[in-house]
Amino acid sequence: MTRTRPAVWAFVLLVVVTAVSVWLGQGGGGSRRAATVGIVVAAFAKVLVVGESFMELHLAPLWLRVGFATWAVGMATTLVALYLS
Amino acid sequence: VAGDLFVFSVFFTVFVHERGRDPAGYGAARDHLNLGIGTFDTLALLIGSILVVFGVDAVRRGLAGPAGRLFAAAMSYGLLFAAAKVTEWVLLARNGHTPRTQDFYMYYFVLTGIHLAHLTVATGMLALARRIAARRVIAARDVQVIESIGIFWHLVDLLWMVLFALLYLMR
Repeated sequence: MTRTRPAVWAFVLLVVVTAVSVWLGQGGGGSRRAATVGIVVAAFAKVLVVGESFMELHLAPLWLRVGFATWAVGMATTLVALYLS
Repeated sequence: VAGDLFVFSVFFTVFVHERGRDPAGYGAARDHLNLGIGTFDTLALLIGSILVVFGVDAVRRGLAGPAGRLFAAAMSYGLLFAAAKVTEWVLLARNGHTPRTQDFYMYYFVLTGIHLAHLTVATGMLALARRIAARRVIAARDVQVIESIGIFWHLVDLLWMVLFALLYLMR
């Protein structure tokens, strides 16, 4: 149980961020554009949590962790830029 | 995994680009999706993921019985996801929303269809993990196979996180 406790916290965090994202998607969070940026950023934050915790990237070589994080941040930035352009 | 991430990255980018050409039309089409089903799907995959984490941990500790039950439980959440997704497809089609009626629905059906195909494979692989975990002796190689199956399941979960945001939530 001790070894899986961080994953349980990750699960709780993912559920909470999902709830916030749904709230933003339903009209919360002020302007439409600000809410959508929040939704996209939250989605890739969840991706990073799934990668680091569930996929155990925190135990992987540094190049793999950096590569995955670079992909997630790069995708979030690209999608936000496309949305705002 | 890297190949799937690359292909879906292209899908995500194309979808958001195309959405930018008709934000009002895509937004109106999005409103016909069932957010309750989308949220249910998200939670089903998250619960499946934590069960897979527990299952892999049980295999590493040599607890074959609990591992098998955890993988079976995770599979049931995969099946729940699939049932909910097919239900939503049928409801949309009955209301006249098909890939031919609007570009948004074309992307919606194609992207969720490809994702469901991945989920089906992942659920089938969990059945294999369950069989491996049922062996009397689990070799180190078997543990690696089960860990790889777990990573594929989490990839399917991860891809849905983004699809859910882009298809159901973007405004």
